[in-house]
Amino acid sequence: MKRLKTAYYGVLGALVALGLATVGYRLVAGMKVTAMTSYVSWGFWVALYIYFIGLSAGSFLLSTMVYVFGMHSLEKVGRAALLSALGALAAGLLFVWVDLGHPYRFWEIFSRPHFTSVMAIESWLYLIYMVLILAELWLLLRDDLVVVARSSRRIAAGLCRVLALGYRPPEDPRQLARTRTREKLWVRILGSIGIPVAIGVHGGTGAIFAVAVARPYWNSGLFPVVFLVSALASGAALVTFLYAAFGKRDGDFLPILRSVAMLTVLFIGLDLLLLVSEVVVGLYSGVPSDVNVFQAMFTGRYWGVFWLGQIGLAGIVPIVIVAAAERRREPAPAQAGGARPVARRVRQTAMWLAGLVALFVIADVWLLAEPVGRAGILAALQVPTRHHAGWWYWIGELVIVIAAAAWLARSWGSPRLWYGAAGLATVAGILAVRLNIVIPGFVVPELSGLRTAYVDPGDFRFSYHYFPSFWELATSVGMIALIVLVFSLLWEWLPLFGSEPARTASPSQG
Amino acid sequence: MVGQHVAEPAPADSPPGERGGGGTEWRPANRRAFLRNLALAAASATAAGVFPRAASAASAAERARAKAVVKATRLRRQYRRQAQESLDESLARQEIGQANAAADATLQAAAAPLGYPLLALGPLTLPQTGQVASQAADPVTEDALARMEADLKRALAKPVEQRRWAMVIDARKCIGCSACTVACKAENKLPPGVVYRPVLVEEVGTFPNVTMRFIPRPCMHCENPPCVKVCPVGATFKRPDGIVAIDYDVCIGCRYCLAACPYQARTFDWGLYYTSGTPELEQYETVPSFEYEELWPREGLRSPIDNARKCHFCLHRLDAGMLPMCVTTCLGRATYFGDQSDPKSLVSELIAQPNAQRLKEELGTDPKVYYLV
Ligand code: SF4
Ligand code: SF4
Repeated sequence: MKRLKTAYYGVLGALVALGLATVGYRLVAGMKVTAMTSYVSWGFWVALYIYFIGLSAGSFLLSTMVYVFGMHSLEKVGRAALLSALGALAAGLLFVWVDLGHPYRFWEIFSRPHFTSVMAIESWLYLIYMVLILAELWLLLRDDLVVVARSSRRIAAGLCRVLALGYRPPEDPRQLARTRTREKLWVRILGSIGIPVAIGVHGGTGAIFAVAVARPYWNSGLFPVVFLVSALASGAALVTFLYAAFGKRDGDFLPILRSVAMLTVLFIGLDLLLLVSEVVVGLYSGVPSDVNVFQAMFTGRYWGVFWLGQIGLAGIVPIVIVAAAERRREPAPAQAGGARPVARRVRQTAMWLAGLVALFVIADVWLLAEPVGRAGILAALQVPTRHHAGWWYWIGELVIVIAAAAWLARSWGSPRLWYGAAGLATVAGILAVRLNIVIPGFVVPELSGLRTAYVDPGDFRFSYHYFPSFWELATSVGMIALIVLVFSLLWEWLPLFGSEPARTASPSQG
Repeated sequence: MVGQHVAEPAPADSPPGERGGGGTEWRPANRRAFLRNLALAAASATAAGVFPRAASAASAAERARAKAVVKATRLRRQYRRQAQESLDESLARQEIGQANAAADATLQAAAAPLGYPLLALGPLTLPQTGQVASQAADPVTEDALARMEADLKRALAKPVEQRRWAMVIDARKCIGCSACTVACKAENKLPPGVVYRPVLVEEVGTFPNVTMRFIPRPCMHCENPPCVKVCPVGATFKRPDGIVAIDYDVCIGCRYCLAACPYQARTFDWGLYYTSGTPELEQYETVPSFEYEELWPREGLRSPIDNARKCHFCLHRLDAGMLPMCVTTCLGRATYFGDQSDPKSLVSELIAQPNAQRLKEELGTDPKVYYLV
């Protein structure tokens, strides 16, 4: 375990170092290191920005279910959800910052905001939202912070002492009880204020896109709502994953995990419903600017982002897994004779499946390397549309893998594993949703013929085709690693799941 | 320093010693000597005319007259040389026009009583030509450029908030040469990947019945500009004369405006160079551009690098009394420019025609660029 942890932090540290170096390069070399163009003016960074803001708003809203609406079954994950809301917000802001042409001028949004711009309004909301999360977290944690500060864990104790900001729980039990009640009330008030703020934060981020009259794909009243719902899905999925992976495994563990997983699926379903509505109306109306966007999304160069990412990973996979895990056959009671054949059957199936997946992987690599003549993962998303064989192949493969996973989920492994996997798949898949919000909005020229109207050595910056550059990818990996690192350390040091010995030791409990 | 060169033209009735002060060769000392000589020459000429008998011989008067003319010609040559020099070394175009006009006026004054015909001064005094033409005011034979120069002058005499700059592009006359695109690139020193006024080419029909349609697309300077609304720091703003401008020093480079413009009239300055990868960046790439009447040298990551950029109707030229570069350059004479709030201006006349159209009017952006189709 200890070694695993060292490896984890080692890898993260290396990624952070690499990432910060690339961020530094981007800062000195300017925006030319990106692959964005004047006509696809937002790319991978902005997609990640709205992705993380969505994760943040989603986790925050989930935490309000505990602290405002009193869903006590989720009590245990409340603080974790708040902390991930904070981490994701930081990541989102980091990405939008690195995306600025003049990053050092970001303060102008605060020193001379122009409030007709949704982006300016949002920036201010992010600030308010951050203060709210911090205040709420502190109120929730302060008792435990004080306890940890007195413990023998050196770094954690030091950190908690600083974070407690000199707070000291009152000695008198009656006063302590009063403080506790007041604390609860305040958390509730802050959470209540936080609800409209979080909705504003993410719905508003959707509005950044929705108000662009120039782009019919974005310019609809449904868009901010779509943002919110997918934010809720990703937030719930993140909490599912985190809880499955790191939650304390006590008596409540499974029911809690189950309820957050169900919530995730509920939001995914809603999200798919909105998507279908938008697509059907858009395609039926037949307005070229809408139809072209959907065409580019479904059958364009990056069809995989939609079908494999948005529909597969963030739709079908979690739904199927959770559904299968719901109806899982409990392993036969531990009888000396009965357990054996089941175990062997499971092992055999697992081996077959592993073989199948290995075959798929080999075939995939070949398929990706062959048609474009470029090997490697970069070409993965660029299988040309003409390659219909590839199309059906990929989708067939996805169906087989999902079916196999569903079958496995019903009989093998622990529910914890499967719920966690469903959460992780959704968290990853929502990134595809975000990419599909940003990039397709740019693929249709506002005036036909713009691409070729003017030609010069820099005219690749007039392209309507975009694929992130190495620097965009490397900085993204680095910045995500940075946030994950800080988040992991805080997760370890902060008393997110309470500090039991402390509670019993404190006078009120005793 | 540069601001002085493009200051509003000095009022005509200001004392002669103060005109065009600062930085050019038109120094008061010169001027006074010149006037004194002229006065002497004129006086002797007049004297010769009034008292012909009193002069001992006609030849003396003749000599004086010839002397005066020679002197005037020499002076004139001198001023033109000075003007030429200052053209070479500075952006003081306005000044030259003034200096020439002044020289011209004095010459006229000198030569009028002599009865010598004056030659036209040539390309440097376009404003004067325009004025003469607009006084002639023959709508059939009048040159469009000359009339637009006159319109411009009238507009500049008004307070800035009463002007409404507008452009009219006659799509029937555009020959698709892209001279405007290139002239604009040169005028504003645009790097690769930045273009303010591309010419869209549309093919109509199928072979062999094909024609081409050309649509130059500058910034529309929308009356209700989506780009201004979305700018989070107010770096993009609408000036009182209708021009949508960008404050490069404020723009944070978020590219929201690029996404919001329905005409994709904005491009981002990616900090590219034509001669990168060669032993040396050519000087024509690093010389400052003169947009918004400020100097914008290209170096490091200084603005306008990593900023949004777009057409500004050549604001720096307008304020110096010149038409936008694309208008001056247009080979097909297909681009018109002027003050829409002035009913007598050429653009107002053209906009009132039934075949004037605008791009994407349904979005309510109310563009200030009209197309005649
Ligand atoms: S054409 Fe585009 S850049 Fe120009 S004013 Fe209109 S919205 Fe702004
Ligand atoms: S790129 Fe510059 S001008 Fe455009 S919206 Fe952002 S800050 Fe404003």
